[in-house]
Amino acid sequence: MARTIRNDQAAALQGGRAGFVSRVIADAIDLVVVEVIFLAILLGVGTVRFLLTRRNFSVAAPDLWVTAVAQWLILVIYLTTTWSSTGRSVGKSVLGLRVLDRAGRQLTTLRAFLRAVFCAVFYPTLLWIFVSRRNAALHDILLGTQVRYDWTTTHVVPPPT
Amino acid sequence: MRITELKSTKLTGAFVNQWHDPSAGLQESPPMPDLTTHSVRVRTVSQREQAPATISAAAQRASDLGLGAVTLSTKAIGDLLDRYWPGEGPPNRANPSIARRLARAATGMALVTERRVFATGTAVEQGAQRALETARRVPLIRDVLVGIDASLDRWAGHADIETARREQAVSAFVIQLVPAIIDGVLERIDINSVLDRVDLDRLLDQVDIDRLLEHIDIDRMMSRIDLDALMQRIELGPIVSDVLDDVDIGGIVRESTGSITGDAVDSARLTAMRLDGFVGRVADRILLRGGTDRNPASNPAPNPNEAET
Repeated sequence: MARTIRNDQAAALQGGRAGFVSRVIADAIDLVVVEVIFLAILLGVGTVRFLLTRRNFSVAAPDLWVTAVAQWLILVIYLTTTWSSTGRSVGKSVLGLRVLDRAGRQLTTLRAFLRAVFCAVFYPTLLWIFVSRRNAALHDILLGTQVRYDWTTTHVVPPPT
Repeated sequence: MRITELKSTKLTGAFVNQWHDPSAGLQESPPMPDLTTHSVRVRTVSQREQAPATISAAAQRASDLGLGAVTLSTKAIGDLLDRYWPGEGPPNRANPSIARRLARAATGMALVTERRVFATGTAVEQGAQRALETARRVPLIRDVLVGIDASLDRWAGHADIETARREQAVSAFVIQLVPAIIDGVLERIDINSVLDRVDLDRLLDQVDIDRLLEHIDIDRMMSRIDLDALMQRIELGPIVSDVLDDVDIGGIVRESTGSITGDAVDSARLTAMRLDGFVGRVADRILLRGGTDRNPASNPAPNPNEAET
């Protein structure tokens, strides 16, 4: 059941393209989520090691490059799966945003993966929003995607197979 | 004064008339001194010396009662026969037969005879009583009579005691018997069939509930109710569990907390939206652009044909 939006301004903006602030906040939340996932993985590894080796419980402290690569991978996988399924990562869900293709449909897995890689490598391309007349980041233009305000939609049109 | 004279001088007649004349009943007359006129000397008798209750008077009452009952029942039976016996129509009361007239005449004769017989009996009884009173003044006879009186009193007292005891026994017997009879009767009455015959709706139509309620003092009634004792007798556990079964507390909590958190999230989202618009307008101004519609909202359903620039 679609929820009702009580604020008139918010209701009027539904379906519009999301701006810089909302998207940055959503991405920040997503980064926090990735950190939490990484920490959970470390704790899980530590727990398994404790259970198998009977040594004192300790959380691994991997090298910096290992941490960076691992978090980068987690970020890409996390964004790919969430964007290609509901179009919402946790951060975008909190901010009421949804990632769609140019036609307003759900992203294909490949397109979601490419977008995730692009964002994870060239995040500053988001600044292109200011230049774009339609709040489009550079990766949006290159990959044919868009981010819209969407608080109420429960059903996303699937991509053409 | 004359009445007092008559009653006192004609003691017997007055006494007989007392039964038939209620206005001259057995009322107590105030004590008065003796009166002497030129023709007669009247001696008023005190209450104690008044004529005692005679057997004749009691017998006459019983006889009157019996005759009255006989007359009534004869009349009633005649009426019943006239009305309900099949075959004959109602008789012409204005023209009774000779036999009926004879019967009524016989009743009248019997009544007159009864009255005369009892008047004579009363006179004899009173005469004997007066003779006895007179004889009591003779010293020798008085002694004998006092002895007889004492003996009579003793026997009478004995009779009183025994009578009282038997009356008590009979009362106790009746007291036990009556409920037993009523119980037996009630057992044989089919209350349900009686109730089936009662048209309760009609009965209730006749009852003015509003007027009835006006008579009821609710406050007084409530003040007599011991609420604490009442509450102790009520088992709250099952009632509460029934209520909880009917009320979806979880749903209410979910709904309220959901709407609270929803409101907070909506507020944060709206703030971000406004900042988006503000930042976009600033960028447009820096880039020397005006009137750019960065956010062609107002079309909630995204247009698939829309192209990015």
